[in-house]
Amino acid sequence: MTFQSERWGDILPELAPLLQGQWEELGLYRDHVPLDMDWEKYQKFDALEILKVTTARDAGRLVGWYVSIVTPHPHYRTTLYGFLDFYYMLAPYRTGTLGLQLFIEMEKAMKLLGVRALIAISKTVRPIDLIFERLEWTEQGRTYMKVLG
Amino acid sequence: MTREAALELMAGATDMTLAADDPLAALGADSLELLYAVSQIEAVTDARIPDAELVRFRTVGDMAGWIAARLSQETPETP
Repeated sequence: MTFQSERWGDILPELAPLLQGQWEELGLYRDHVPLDMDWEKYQKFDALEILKVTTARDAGRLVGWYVSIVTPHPHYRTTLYGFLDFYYMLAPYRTGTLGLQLFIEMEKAMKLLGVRALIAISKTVRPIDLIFERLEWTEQGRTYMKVLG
Repeated sequence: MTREAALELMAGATDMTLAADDPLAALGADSLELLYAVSQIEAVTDARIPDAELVRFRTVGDMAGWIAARLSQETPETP
């Protein structure tokens, strides 16, 4: 297994077909909120170099990813934040310390970029609080969602 | 402390039957169960395993060896 930083544009051909599976497992209110990635927006973020990706690969095959938007927080312009967009590890690779390693590598990459604070969520449908706690993140609240009928 | 003694501590902490050559993944069906087991082991041994070490362990014995070495360092010498 290898863990590394990669450009969004470089991994997109591999990543795009895998996102359907991620959405089917973790997507919320799928009957009301269909997956419909705004590829142009992501391309713009990538061009602006604010879209950062840490990947896990097994013999070269993409098996995990952590995608962040790196930008100063609008309330704290002097502080660079890494906002989670999405993360995922293919089910056969959720063993041992692979998930932990993905997060460790992501944190290393963020530090190199000068990021000072990270924001992410642990989804209720598949919580990963133990990884956050292991890496000494602190819980800062809960995320709520409501679909308006 | 010997590696075997550390292995016994780990088995007691997790209520599992462990062998030194078991893969680390034997501590949990998935990575989150593994982290839970590690937290139980750390609580019992009072030894925080650095993440950089944890991700290097390939077997349960690797972890037992680290714990044994760590706890041996902390055992005061008898005069």
